[in-house]
This record gives sequence, structure tokens and C-alpha cells, in this order.
Amino acid sequence: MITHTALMRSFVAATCIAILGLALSGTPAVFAQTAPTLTAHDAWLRQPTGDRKAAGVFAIVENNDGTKRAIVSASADIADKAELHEMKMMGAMMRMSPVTQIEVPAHGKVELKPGGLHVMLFGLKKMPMAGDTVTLTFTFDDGSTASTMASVRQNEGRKMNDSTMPTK
Amino acid sequence: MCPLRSRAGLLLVAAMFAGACGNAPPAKPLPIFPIDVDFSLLGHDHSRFQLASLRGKAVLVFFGYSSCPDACPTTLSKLATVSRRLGADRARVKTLYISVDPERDTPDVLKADLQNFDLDALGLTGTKSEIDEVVSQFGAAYEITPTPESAAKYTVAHTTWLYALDAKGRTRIRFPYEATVDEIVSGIRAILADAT
Repeated sequence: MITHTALMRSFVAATCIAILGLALSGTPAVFAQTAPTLTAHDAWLRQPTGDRKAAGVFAIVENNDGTKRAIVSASADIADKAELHEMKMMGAMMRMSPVTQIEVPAHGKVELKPGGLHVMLFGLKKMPMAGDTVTLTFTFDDGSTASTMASVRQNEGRKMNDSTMPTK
Repeated sequence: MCPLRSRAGLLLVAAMFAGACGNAPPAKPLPIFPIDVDFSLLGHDHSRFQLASLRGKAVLVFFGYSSCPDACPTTLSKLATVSRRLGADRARVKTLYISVDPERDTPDVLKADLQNFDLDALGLTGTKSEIDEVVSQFGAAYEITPTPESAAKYTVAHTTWLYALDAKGRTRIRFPYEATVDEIVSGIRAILADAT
């Protein structure tokens, strides 16, 4: 004879199996989420030195869609203003200039990196220190946004145990 | 100059002093660039600096500015690593960081910019005409371009050569921006070993 407890166990087990099955099958209405088309990751910046009120930020921005997109602006929680910039080496001459947008190819990515395209932060509200994270948000030409956390890296060659180094 | 030609030039120079270390055959003497420099600028310690005061030391010279977000901090970081790699020889080397943005780079700004790097470096600034004269002596260049659309207000383009002078104040090596720590350390060691 089946006891009440055994019946309850069977009911709970069946319910769990049903929920797991739905999750694994990817039933769209309840469990699945659409993957974002535009994403940003691996963002970082150097800890600024001295009294710099500006900093360059680097990241990878990916476009999983079949339509090319463009970054048209950026913002960061620690800066009054963020601009899209490009550094170019022309022979031995280093040139930096603002750009109006940065293209992200269809099913491709753009890497914002030292010596190339990057985001410039101006009017730092607080000095980012190594180990901190900064919220960085890109806005695209279709109005969508992608946010990521940028990690603050130590400048190589920085003095250690320097009492003049700012603290948090 | 194209980067490839820059790299080729560096490699040529590197090959010339490659034998300065280890058991390789004696190296050919380093070239002496036809760059005749002597100048006076304002140091980040607010004192007047004269290049001739560094006779007896190897001197590294580069042009930059404190608002530079990329090339200049990269060079400073690289030179701090070079300095550490030089060990006891670091006391025989001085770095000069000459600003091409005198409007923003006061001695105090340059001092703040340098103070966190483990490097025996002096930040130098001056009037625009003084800086133009030094830039001209080295055959370097810079351009200031207004950017009213940007919070930067203006951008500063500049050459990124790193000049290495010997104890007599003669320019012996001109490293491109892409020069590695190893290449710069080897170059400085060759200059320190050169008695010509």
C-alpha cells in the first residue's frame, strides 16, 4: 500500500523533473532570455598618475548581430565626460584626436586598446586606484547600450611603498 | 619615417652594440648622431637645469606631456622597468622628460606626474620658444591642435623618439617608441661601456 509520505515524495520528484525538463528544453516563454546583441568586456584603465584628471579606457566590444553598428558615445560613473578618441602613430609622431563614432562590424568586434581607439574620461570625480572597478557604458547608433566593469591596473614601474601615493 | 624603417634603424644600432655584453666579439663603436644639443630649461624642482650639468652620465631624453593618456605613461613605465633592470648602473643614468605642453605642464604638474614612478627623472618645462629650441636641436617635432568639441580643448601630437646621450652629451642612439626594455637596457649598457 502506498503511504501518504511516499505519495508526497513522488509528487515532489515529478515536479522537480518537470521543471528541470522545461529548463533544459529551453522553453522560450518562461525561461529563455535573448542574448544581448552588443556586449562589452575585458575593460580596463591605467591608474592615472599625478594630478591627471583624464584617463584612457580600453575594452572589447562585440556585435553578435548581422548588422554593423557603431558606438556613438560612452559614459563612466567616475567621470564628468567620456569621449571616443583615437591614437595614431604616423611615423614617429603620436597623434590623438576625438572621433565621432567607432564602428563595430557585423558578427565581429572592435578592440579599444593602447595605441589605438579608446575612451577618454575627463573630469574624474575620484582618482581610480589599482584594484578599483569603474562602470563603463557604451551607447550605439540604434539607441541600445552595453555596460561593463573596467578594472583599474597599476602602472608598471610604479614606486612601491611610496608614502606620497594617494590612498582611497 | 615609417615604423618599419624605424625598427630597421634600431636593429642596425642593436647589431652594432650587440657584442658589448657576453662573449660576443667586440662590437663596432656606436654611431654619433649629428645632433648637437645643449639647453637650459626649468626643472620640476623649480630650479634652472642645464644639460651640461649631466656630463659624466648617460642621459635619456624624450618629449611628452602630462595629459598624454597613453604613449607618455607607457614610456615612463618602460623606463622605470629599464632603470630597475640596470641595477647598480642606474645611478649612472638620468632621464629627462621634456614637456611640449608648457601651458598645462607647470613644474608642480610634472613633479606630480613623475613622483610615482621608480625612476631618476627630471621633468622639464619652459617658455614655448625655449621648448621649440630644444625640440629643434633634437630634430623632434610637436603640434598643438585646438579641439573645441573635446573637453581636452586641444590635443598635442609629438614625436616619440627616445634619445640616449653619452657621458659627453653626444646623442648615440635614437630608440623608436616600439623599442623593448631589453633593447633599451642593452643600448644604455653599450653607451656606459663606450669610452670613445
